[in-house]
Amino acid sequence: MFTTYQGARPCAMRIHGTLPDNFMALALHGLPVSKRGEIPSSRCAARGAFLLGLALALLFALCLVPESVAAESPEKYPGRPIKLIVPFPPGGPTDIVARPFAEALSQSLGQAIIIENRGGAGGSIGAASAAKASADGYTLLLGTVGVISINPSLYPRLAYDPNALTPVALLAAAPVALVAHPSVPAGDVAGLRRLAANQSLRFGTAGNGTPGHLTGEIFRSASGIPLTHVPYKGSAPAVQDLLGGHLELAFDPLQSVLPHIRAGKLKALAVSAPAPELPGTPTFIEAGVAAETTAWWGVFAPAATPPAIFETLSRHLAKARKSAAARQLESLGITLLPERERAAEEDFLRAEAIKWGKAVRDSGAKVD
Amino acid sequence: MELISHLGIGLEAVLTWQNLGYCFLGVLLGTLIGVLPGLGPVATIAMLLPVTYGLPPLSALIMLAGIYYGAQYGGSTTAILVNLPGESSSVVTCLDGYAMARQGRAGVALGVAALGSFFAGTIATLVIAAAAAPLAEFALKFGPAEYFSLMLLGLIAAVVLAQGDVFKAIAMVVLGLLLGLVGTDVGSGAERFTFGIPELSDGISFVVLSMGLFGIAEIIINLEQTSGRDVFTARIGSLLPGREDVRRAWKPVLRGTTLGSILGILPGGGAVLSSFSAYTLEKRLANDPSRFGKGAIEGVAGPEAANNAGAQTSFIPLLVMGLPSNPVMALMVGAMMIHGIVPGPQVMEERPALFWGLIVSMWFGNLFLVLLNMPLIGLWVRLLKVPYRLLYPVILLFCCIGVYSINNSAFEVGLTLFFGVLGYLFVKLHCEPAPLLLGFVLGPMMEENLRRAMLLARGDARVFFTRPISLTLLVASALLLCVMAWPRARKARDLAFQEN
Repeated sequence: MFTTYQGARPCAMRIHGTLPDNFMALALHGLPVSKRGEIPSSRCAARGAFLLGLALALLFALCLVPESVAAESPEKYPGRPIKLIVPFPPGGPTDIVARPFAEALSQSLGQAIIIENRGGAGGSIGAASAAKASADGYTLLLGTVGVISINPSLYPRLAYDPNALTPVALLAAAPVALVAHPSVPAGDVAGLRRLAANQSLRFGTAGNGTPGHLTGEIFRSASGIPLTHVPYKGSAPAVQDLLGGHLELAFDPLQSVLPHIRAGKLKALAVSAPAPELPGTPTFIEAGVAAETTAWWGVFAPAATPPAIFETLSRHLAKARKSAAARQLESLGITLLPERERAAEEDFLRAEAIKWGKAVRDSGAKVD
Repeated sequence: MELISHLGIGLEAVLTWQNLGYCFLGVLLGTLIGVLPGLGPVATIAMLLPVTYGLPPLSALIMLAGIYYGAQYGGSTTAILVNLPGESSSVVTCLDGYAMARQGRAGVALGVAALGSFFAGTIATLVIAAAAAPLAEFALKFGPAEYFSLMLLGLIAAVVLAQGDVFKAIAMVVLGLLLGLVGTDVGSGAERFTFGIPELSDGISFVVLSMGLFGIAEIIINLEQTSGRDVFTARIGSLLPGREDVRRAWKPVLRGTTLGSILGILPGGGAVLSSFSAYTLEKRLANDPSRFGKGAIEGVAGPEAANNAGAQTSFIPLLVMGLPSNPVMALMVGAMMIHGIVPGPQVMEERPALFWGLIVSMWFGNLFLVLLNMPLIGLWVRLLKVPYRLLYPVILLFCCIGVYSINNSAFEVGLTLFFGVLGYLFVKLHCEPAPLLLGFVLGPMMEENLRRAMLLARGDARVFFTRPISLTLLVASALLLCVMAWPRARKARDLAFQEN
């Protein structure tokens, strides 16, 4: 949508300049506040409020066309605000990771970063719009394990080629926690195995094809413990039913269950990767199940973006990793990833695609 | 008294110029975006999140919460004046509020909405302060089986919403159910009725559907009959509710507050479900149900009280358990995390000033809202005098901006226009869109919970009858069916049909 503005930038700028005038004219002439004075006492305040409303609406309108505002200068990057597409709704886990990094990156670059939430189709819609954006460094994507490594196997007709997006830097990761209702008579994976021999166990997840679900499938096939999958629409309802004791187990990225574990309302049996916030909880591997997964987040850019811009961005992102805002994520159960060579990150992504692709096929979670 | 000491902690935290100021700013912004059709609290809060970085956490949360419940106030204004649900929870307010406006009683409708909301907000604040923790525990008892039975009750009640032909009402409910099927099936992950369009894979958004069916359709109808509109804009009538209005409205406000406070706690439905059920309840209890849809003040008072109470109590699962019950609450989770507060059961103990401060701020917010809204009624009513040829392009523009701001998706703007045309057809065919919307909201939740309950019960359907809450709800559904089949009630319905 935004890319279509680029061809018509001068025109968009002109609209930007005249829009308020039109609106004010409409407000002043269109509103007959001065014609008939039935309610004179509230007239002034009321008109002020109405104008304020229009001003607010204008603010909205302007927020929607940020790209048309500043002229581009090819020599100096970044010469205008950068758009970071978050392919999930505001307030979700991906958004929570995006905002502190965007804040820190913006301070480091001295240029505004505008977060654009484009949810839908498991992140595919936002990722597709980033993949198709012009490769000038002004449109970035907050890529996730789902968007980059799972969706290509999950959706037969993906609206984007994951190879059209190249990692600038992988930033953060969270282990998936295997949590149980406190009434479940098993304190660890071995206890779970014994319990499963006598009763059928059900695990809730945030939905088909989510990292929690696929980690559950990987755990099930690696451990051989029979478990029934109960999908929910997002993390919150699954956690809710687990807290209410309607389910025995859930697989969910650590940050959404951590407060409940700390409050003693849920117990953590194992985590899919080392979790510094839960020092006493074994990883799957330590518990004898040969599986390791994380839900991760990183900044991606269209593959054709000039190397100089990649270099600038990753240098500033390295600083952003050390910022207080980003550090705060650690208390939520999110691990900040160390800076790595480009080649190492690409190797990691190749391995991820294979691992999750297999999990998708094994689970039968294909969307078609 | 524990309650008093808790409120004391909250008062101490809130009564600073800064916090009161942010509270006022929040409800002011909320009212404005509520009034502007389609611009919702989700987009506004998302946009303001970065602004709150520099604020102390309590001030930030007070302001963001104010935007949410302020929007519920503002939403009813647009619903009453131009038949556009400014917020999804004000859809039912359109039915009788707009009819009242057409009769020149817009001021009365707005006044009742504001005062009813204030009363509901005050009670809901007390409910949260006194019983947040036990209520949250109660909400946990609602498993998939209970949800299914609740949705069934709601769906049967949906038919009562209809103004005329009961068969058309059922047809509209079914159409709503079908529209609700669009999207990815939660159980299997399969896509249904998406025609390979990625934008449809998460289903049709409620805002898109309600904005199209009510708002855009109304604009087309109005443009078709330009002379008809001028007639009712000429009459404004009294601005404040009179003695007779208060007599009619106070009981619905009480009932709406109770219903809203209860339903708001349950995830998923919240404010929307509570306003729908309050309307249904009032219509059921009325001596003359045929007045509904033609400007019955009870049909404004009940739902307005309910949606405000529901908006407020929907903070309970968030504050007590850290579980967001709707997209706005999910944003509040994000806002809390940005400030380094992990929402969850520990917030109440670890940060009492923040917890109780936020709750107490809601009462101040409601006070500000009523002080802000009562004087504004005069202005809003005068808006009706703006020539429609000037007003409708502005409304259309805001609708488009509002829909676009949800997902930054142009596709959804187009879809809204499609539903606008469909809504116009419904008006021509004398089909009511309200039952369709309720079917659309309840259908997918009902299916999801039915399948989940069966999965959890390992295929044993007795689960719906062995769980006490579920059984109670099913019995209530059966009773409601009987009442509808009862001859006297049927006669009343036939009478209403003849009048149409």
